Amino acid sequence: MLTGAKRGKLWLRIRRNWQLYALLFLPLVWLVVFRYAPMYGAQIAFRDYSPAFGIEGSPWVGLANFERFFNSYYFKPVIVNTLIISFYSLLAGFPIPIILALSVNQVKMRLFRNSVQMITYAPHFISTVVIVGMLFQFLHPRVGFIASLANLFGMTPPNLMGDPGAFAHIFVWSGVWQEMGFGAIIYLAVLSTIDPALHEAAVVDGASRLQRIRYIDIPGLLPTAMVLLVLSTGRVLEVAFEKVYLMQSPLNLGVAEVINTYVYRVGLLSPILDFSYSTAIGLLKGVVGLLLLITVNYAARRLTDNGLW
Amino acid sequence: MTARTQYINPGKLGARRQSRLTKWLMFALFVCLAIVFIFPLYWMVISSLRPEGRIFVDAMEIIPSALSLDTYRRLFEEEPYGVWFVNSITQTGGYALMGVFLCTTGGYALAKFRFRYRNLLFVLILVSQMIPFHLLIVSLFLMIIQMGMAETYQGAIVPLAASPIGIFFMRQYMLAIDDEMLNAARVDGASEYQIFWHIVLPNARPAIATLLILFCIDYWNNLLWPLIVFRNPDNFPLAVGIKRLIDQYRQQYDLTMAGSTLATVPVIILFFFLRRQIMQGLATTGTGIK
Repeated sequence: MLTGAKRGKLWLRIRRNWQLYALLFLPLVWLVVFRYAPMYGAQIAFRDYSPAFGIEGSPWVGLANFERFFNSYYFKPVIVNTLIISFYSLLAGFPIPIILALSVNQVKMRLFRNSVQMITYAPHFISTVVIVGMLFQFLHPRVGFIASLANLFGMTPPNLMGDPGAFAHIFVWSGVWQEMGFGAIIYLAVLSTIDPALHEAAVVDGASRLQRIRYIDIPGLLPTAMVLLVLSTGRVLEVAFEKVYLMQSPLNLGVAEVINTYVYRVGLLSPILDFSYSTAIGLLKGVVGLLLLITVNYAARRLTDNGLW
Repeated sequence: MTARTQYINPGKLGARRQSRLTKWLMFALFVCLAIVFIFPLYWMVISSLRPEGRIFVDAMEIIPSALSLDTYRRLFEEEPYGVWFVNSITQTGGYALMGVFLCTTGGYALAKFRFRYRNLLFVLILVSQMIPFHLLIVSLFLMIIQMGMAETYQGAIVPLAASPIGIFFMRQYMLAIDDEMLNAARVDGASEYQIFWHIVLPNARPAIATLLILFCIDYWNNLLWPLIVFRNPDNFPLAVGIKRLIDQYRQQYDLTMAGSTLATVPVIILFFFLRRQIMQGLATTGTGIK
């Protein structure tokens, strides 16, 4: 009887709240189908997937796909390229938005502040394809701006996009150009929360501008900066796929092939699509990324008391 | 502020001279910054406007001596650029509306209803944001083929539509809506549907607008997923189309630049007029949608 009443209550609750369930239903189904279910499909990393047998019908092969990657000719260059490009990006891309935010924060004129912010973060909204198209054109040895500059000084224009040595620099600094303003937004938001009384007191005590930046602004930014640093270190294997992929050419493939583009090439582009192999590499990358995140977060906690969790 | 300045520079004249110098310095800095950030865009536009036969000769001119819209004519006549543009608008619109709908309903339910496992559910939603998209690509692609959505608009927009961060954003915003108001409406006999439609949605309008803009920019610029879904050039959105232009015209960038200019201008205009909403969205979600 009691259970019957309870069941009745539950039914009543569902009936009374059916609108709630209706609201929740679609977004949840979506996430389950398109985010969680593909994770289940990632098991093909441990199978020899063939479309004829489907995901569950394909035979298990254990770690064979992973071993193949470790023994592959591409293993070393792909890992090395990924690490070089992403640590270089981090080294250049991490401090510059902070410097920009600190200097913009020094300016009191509203108009100036707003225009600097607007101009510097507008490039963030330009599509990667367009950015790379611009790079190709801008650096082209015959029609590009670099060419006209070189001609002006009577030099032979260099073919920068074809030069493997220039690849990482072009990739990183165009990225800095595109993202520095956007990256500065969050730091500026943090700086605006610093109590002005601190600065006023420092001025009364005779602190210089640089001293105030050093002892008030930078400590204020540190927690946010650490969180962002931990996050980007966790993503160190995730070199921006679209941009690298678009910038690749037969000339620079030796230094420009990174994990993400390699996964795409073997999994979705090659004549024999190797779904299992590419999923295995993707999974490996995901797991290593997670471990990195945990390690770096631990280190950050120990060293500065700031971290993600 | 004046008091502070006087404290550092007791001599009034000195203060004024320094501030004038700083102003000039700042102005110079600003001009440099503006050049660095605007010049590449300017170069893109003028490269697309150079007359066809003279692209190599004129490339040296920073201020072009002759302009022509010929490249744009070729873009529409020799390449299906018009089709790509329409595709981009349709797909972007569909994606943004679908995404905003899902995020709004989900966010509202999570913010304003109390039910068992709500927090667990919320965590699970956020965790799904942490799954790297590259890990899902192959399985998603296989799924799309199985569902018969390969080479269709649905295949391009449906899998991306539910954004965990978008749900999070809407939830945060909805939390601020006054419960009293909703309860008063319930007491007055309004149905949940009416409440959602007539009270919640109007109150969440700024957040909805922000999300809509961010989703639009997101899809408009997205390359990877449409590149996988579409093989037929007639279905391409702009980003994939421009990639094709880059691949095809390796030595001559006039068409690429014209295509890029037309694809970028709407975004920049949108950004310019709606920067306040965009900024608000960024400040709330921290790193933007996606």
